[in-house]
Amino acid sequence: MNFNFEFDLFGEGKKDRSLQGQIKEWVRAHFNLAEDVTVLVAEIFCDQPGCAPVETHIAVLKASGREQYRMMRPMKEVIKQDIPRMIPNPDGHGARIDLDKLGDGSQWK
Amino acid sequence: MNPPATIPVSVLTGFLGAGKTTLLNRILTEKHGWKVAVVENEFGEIGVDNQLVLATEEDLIVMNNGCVCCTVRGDLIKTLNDLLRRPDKFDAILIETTGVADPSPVIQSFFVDEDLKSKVRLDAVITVVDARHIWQHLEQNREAREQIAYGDVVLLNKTDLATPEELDRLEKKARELNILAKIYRTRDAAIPLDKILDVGAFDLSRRLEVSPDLMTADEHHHHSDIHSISLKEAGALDGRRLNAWLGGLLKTRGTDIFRMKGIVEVQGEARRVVFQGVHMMFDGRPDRPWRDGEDRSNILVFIGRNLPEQELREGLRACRAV
Repeated sequence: MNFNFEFDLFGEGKKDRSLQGQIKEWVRAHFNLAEDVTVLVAEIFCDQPGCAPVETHIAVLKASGREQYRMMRPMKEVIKQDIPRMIPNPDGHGARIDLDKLGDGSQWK
Repeated sequence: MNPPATIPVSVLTGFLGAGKTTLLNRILTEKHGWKVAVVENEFGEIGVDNQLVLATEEDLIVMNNGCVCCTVRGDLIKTLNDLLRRPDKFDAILIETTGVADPSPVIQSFFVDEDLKSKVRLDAVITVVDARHIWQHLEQNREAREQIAYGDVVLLNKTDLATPEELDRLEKKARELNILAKIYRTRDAAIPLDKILDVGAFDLSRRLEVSPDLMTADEHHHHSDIHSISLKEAGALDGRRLNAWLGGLLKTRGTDIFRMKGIVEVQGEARRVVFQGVHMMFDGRPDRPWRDGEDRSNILVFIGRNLPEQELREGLRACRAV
């Protein structure tokens, strides 16, 4: 099946374990994370003003606490070069897009 | 090739004093042959005979605007990942929620991580209800109504403290809140474990196999803000329209949709497309091919707050391929 859905509900993007796994690997390598640190990669969509319609959220779950990041693009469009430019999202909600914090690799579609 | 076996996970919820701990103690202490890992919101870690109890401190990851729609339990995801790295193997995992907690962040935690989903599967949300005292909670506490709405298995517990008429009335109320739940009446939370563990109740497909008449029951009497709506509509759907409709629904009504399950026929797809959602979290994919002569009617069930039945019915109809 090759649905090309607006939100990719059934599809090939966010359900792709290897894609999610690839992003996890990039995050692990970037932060040099130990094996017992859990990395969570999630794609959400949002209709709030100031949010990208589909975003990729990263949570790094350490024993010492949690770090969160967001990227203003769907998971399937994330590239390795986005990882150093992830936007810190410590509160995990309510954050509006601050254009100054958007890295060169970020695009708002 | 069959996919690797996944460990069934049950989520235990229920209002304070309903009997969750009684049920949990039964699972931990009775000789039943199941090796169960229990995750609860307490401090410390103890081993009870053959079982394991892991404690976590609730850590809600709110991904979006404080909305419950995109909130998961980070501690749970980490604990389950840690658990799966252990050499010991378990037949089932049970997660206890706190009495007043909205269970949706726990449920949603099983929607986001594909690694986790390849190893564990949400088997059922078990809601324990105090058959005598639930009425005051149902009227006063949104959480009490919601916990029944989220349940795949509902135990009407403490039956010795309620009359048969009261139990009938309660069962009718629970059914009104949740058309899909399997309802049992229990005393002292006594129930064979094979009724509540590894029952596949989260899976609409298995639920319909067990109770094929589920969708023919006319239970659409809405006396509560929370209710169930079931739709059955023949005719293959247009995949693109279906996606646009469901996507729009999740965006606009995600907060009010507690549960959404469906089995549909999509034009051009030889397999059934099955999906389920909790608030804005959605998981849908083709599963097995349609069988010869099988009823291909599209089946959708919504459980939520103030859902517009007619609008949903028309929305589904509009997805039909022409």
